[in-house]
Amino acid sequence: MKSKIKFGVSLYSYQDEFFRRTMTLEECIQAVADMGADGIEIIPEEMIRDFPNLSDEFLDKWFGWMDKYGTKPVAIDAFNDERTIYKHMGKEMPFDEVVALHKSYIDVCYKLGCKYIRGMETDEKVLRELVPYAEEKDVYIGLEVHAPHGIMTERTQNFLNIKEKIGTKHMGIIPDFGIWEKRGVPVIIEQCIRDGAPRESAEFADEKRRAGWTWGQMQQWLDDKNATPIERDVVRRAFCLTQDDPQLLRQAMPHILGIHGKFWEMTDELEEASADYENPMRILIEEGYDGYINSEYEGGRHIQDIEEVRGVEQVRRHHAMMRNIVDKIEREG
Amino acid sequence: MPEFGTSIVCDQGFKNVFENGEPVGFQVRIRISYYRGIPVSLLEGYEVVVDGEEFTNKDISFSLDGEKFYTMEELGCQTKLRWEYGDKAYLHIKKPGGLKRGLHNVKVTQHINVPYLPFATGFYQERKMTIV
Repeated sequence: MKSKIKFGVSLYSYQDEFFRRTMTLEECIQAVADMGADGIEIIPEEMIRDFPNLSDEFLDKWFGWMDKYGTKPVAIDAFNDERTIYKHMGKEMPFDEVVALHKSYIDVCYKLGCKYIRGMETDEKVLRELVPYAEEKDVYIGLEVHAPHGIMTERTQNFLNIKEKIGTKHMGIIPDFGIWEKRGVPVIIEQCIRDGAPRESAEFADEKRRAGWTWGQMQQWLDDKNATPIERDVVRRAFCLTQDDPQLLRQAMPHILGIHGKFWEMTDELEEASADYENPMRILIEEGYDGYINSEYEGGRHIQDIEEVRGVEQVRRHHAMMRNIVDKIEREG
Repeated sequence: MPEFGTSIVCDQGFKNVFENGEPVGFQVRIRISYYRGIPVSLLEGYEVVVDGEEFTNKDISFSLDGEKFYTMEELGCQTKLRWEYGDKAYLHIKKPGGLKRGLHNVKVTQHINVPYLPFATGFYQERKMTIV
């Protein structure tokens, strides 16, 4: 069985290097190509000035980089600022402005040559305005399936119902590997412990989760010992996992625009410390998935208080792991 | 560090602000404690603590270019004005007489109403800085 999976990177993974100005946007793109990957996902508001008005000069550079490094624009990330942009004034964003905000993401996606927008989480009324525009530009509107949600949970299914009602191809989903957690995220748990949470409580919660305790029992235990807020936090982090069934990917295949390769920590053994990669990747390969998995390194924010964040190195390890998994699955047939 | 703000406060540009030759306050330059640029109306506000003395939104004005300053109330209405990611903005903090020459302990907390959280984030940085 031959894998058709393509590999890319959300440049968000390099946010620390970019913020510290140790890497430019061009160098971020080069870092993807360096590993033999070619998919580029970008947060335009992070790495491109004058959003949403991209200059011709910038676009020339952008496509010049794609040619030079052999990379391809895959996705942009959008934000639902309508929720807070008028918050200070105690008002809602007017409907026409909400539509204009999201249309500006469609424009930016189109201009950058990307296929889909990740993270457009808006309601049916707005989507009905956006879909014809997206169809015209041949841009896909994507909902990320992010923890604590899953493929069959309400938020995802509502979105897919709207897609069906509108009758468009130009909407879809982007499952994130954070929905397939094997255990609590060590870098987050360690950060809680540095902030004063007792290590024994994190270990106890992990043990009881494996033993089949309910969250109600766990909360009762916290109440009985009069736990502090940080102790409750660490227990929740160790106990409340999102463990969607990877088999659900099979029925979701026609709606999948891309996959977000969320990870928090690549160990020296080239393993992601929390998310399950092997089972979902096996299903993607069996189903003939030929889209991208875009790495999204999110562990930096949980270690920056104690060590240098190395997004580039973490992503390289992540790609080495994914390639190891592909090799193994292809070998096993 | 984009999210926790451990490098949002800039050493450069820490100085007193004068009006008609009199020190009326001081300036701190700051970057966004987030991973993208934002419309400035997403800024909920600031707390600045210098040597234990606390300043809040009513004492603080904000500028992107060092020329046009907005009060926090005015800033909250600027839905079209964007603060570019990584750019160093200006905070002017009212303090008649300004700050004395020498080292000061400065803590700045920046609150942003990000769209996917029900509360404003509050990342801060505290460091010793010098008025020359």
